[in-house]
Amino acid sequence: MKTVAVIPAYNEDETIASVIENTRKYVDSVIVVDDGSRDETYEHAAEADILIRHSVNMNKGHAMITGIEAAIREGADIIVAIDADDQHDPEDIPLFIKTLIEENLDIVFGSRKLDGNMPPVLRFGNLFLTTATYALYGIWISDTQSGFRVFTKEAYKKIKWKSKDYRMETEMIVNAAKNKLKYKELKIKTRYNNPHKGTTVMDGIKIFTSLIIWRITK
Amino acid sequence: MIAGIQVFGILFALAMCYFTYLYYKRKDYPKTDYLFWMSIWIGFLFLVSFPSATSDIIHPLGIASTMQLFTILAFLLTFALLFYQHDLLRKNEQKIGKLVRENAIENAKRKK
Repeated sequence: MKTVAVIPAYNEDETIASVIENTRKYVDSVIVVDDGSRDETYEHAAEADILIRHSVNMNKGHAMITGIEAAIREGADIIVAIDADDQHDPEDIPLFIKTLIEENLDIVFGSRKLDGNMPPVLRFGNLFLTTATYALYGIWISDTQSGFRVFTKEAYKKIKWKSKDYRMETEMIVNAAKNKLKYKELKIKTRYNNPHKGTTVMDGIKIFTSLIIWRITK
Repeated sequence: MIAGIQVFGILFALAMCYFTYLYYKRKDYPKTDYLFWMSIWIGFLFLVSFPSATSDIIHPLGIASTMQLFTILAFLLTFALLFYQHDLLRKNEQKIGKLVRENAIENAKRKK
């Protein structure tokens, strides 16, 4: 089974090289999608097996789809989605892949520990969105915003999202619930390197609004 | 007698007629768009110039004056345009996304 890691990156020149180096040890191929970065992300990602560059910034949802479409063209059976900001530990990848294969799952969600290590705003926002997702769709994922996920090529066709921004993480969960995919949640180690990056309060409001809209339209 | 607000309305309608004509002559607008917008501005110009012409229509609808009719129509038009623009923006975003993706994958750099 061919495993391919997809790393969407936007202005991550400080961390992208080490993320590629550490991820490569656990997958067959690493694809980086530079989402129109204004810094030197593209140059620093030269070690990626396939390096794709968006000519303009299209946001994470688009960047992920670009990376996954390329991975599928490369013959990927299992896709590993991991963030470029070095907040995830690639050492967790083998356990995710093993769990996916051995338990015959469609998707494995990585969940950060909602403890004191996580910034309070993120912790509260995550808890709120997790509860809302459960109330509306009956699926409990304790960290709806984690970007660390492993899924099969077949599952991707069912969870493919339309959101262009951070709502994609939640839409993925919603689509998994709607299609009754087999899933599991595993705890992951996390480092918070930059408190100014990632989901903001405004993103949280947009995600909550979309959760309600999707309940009616999907 | 023409009130101050009417003068303002007439000048506005004439200016919009001019811009619509200008865009049409520059070939920025097709004929259908030109006729649509021109009829809107000419209708607006007529109603601003002769506000009493609407009295037979607005009173049965419970609208007190032509000014009120304008306000209601302006709100309706604004919401309709907002809806149309939102839909257009979403479709354009999807098209740009597809273009950028295809271009990016085509020009992907492989490690040697």
